[in-house]
Amino acid sequence: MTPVLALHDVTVRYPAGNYGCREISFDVFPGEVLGIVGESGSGKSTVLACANLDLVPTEGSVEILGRDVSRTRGAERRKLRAQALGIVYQTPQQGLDLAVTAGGNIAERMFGAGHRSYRVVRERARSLHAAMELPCDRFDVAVRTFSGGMRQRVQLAKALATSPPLLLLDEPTSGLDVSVQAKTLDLIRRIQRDHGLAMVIVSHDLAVIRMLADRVIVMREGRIVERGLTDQILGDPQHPYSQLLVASQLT
Amino acid sequence: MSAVLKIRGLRKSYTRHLLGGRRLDVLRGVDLELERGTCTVLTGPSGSGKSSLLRCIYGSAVADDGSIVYRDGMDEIDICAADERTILSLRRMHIGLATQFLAVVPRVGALDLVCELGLERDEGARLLRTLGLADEHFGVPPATFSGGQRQMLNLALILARPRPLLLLDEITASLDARRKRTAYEALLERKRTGVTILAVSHEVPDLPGLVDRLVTMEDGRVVA
Repeated sequence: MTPVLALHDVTVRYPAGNYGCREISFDVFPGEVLGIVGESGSGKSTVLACANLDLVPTEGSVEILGRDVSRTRGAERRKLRAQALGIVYQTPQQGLDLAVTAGGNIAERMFGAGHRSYRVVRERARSLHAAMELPCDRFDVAVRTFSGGMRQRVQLAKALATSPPLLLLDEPTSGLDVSVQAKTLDLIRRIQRDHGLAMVIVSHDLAVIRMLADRVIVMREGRIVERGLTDQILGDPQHPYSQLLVASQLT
Repeated sequence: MSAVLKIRGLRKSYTRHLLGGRRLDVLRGVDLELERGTCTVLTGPSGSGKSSLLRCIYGSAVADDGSIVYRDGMDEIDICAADERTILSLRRMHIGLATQFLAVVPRVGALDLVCELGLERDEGARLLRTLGLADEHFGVPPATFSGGQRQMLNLALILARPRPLLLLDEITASLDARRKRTAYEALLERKRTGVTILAVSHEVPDLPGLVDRLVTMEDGRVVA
């Protein structure tokens, strides 16, 4: 089986000489969910940015569906992103144009992937909008007027619009109140199961990781310090830092 | 008779790095064999290593030394040496673990949870009814369930998937006598179909025919 996503010794070094991440390797197979945990600044989002081809690794490679894509550019990269990758950013304005309607945001991604029929695109955007439990009467309304939880769900709908095999999630529920968080998590979980999606989810909330991830990577200062099955990492962490992380969680 | 599980020289310690690296030895060389289609009850004082043993078998705790060989037909897998994907696939197809704690999924109802594991709606409903959950609770997310209802749902979740080895950690602890009997009967039915059961319990189930063997642990060792 070919992994949907594989990172091989990915290192990101910034011009100032500091590191974003160092020697990161992992792979994700179809239908698998990988969680990345670690404190702020540990390099989690850098790793996700490499996977989303936002960032070119200084060393190492990123493979999507078995092909080294770490150095693709321009139109090829846009096409790959549209077909193979969906992402939900922590801050919705990174992933959405807030001045554009929900429907428009979702449709944009489909047009980007080569869809040409306005009717087909609008219908699919509408059905995704509804599937994410967004109110029908807000379909043609600018996302600027949406609440935080609704914006995250528009991001999800947009990410899913081209049925990519891989979904990247960067703190998808942080900043949401508990009931909205529960709704969002339930939707993510259902999407993953229904479509057999491969998923990489970055979160500092171990409860989110426990619910969604099969396997976990613990990062600290840009490096992976421990990896394992989710219940093993959360129940029997081996590395001192993982133990601190688990012990610091409010349960 | 053939052994489903062979444990040899199993050692497990927890190193508490936050407490200056203090090491707790919880399993100090455990040998145990489980024959196919039998029910073994693991007893012993709190802290004797029973739950750690189950967690090592399930792969949710990392053993220091020794082997846990699971046998499926001609295939043998040493769980202590298996990679993450092998363990995940063992869990899907072969080994189930239920504890007294229910991992609650927000917004998903009891029947949906059971059916997610592969049962049809009517099969799922029958299973929940057998375990004493009333129809009006089928659509209710288990976060609002009582302790006893949660435990019965936990049992339903482990029975929903046909797996040859079931690990049970105090799953009847907070049940009343009637519910306990229901749970034991459900387990006996599975055992008769060839399922192997290893259960940690402070009390030995009194249902005739269910328990084949009692194993006592003390201080990280099997003593009887």
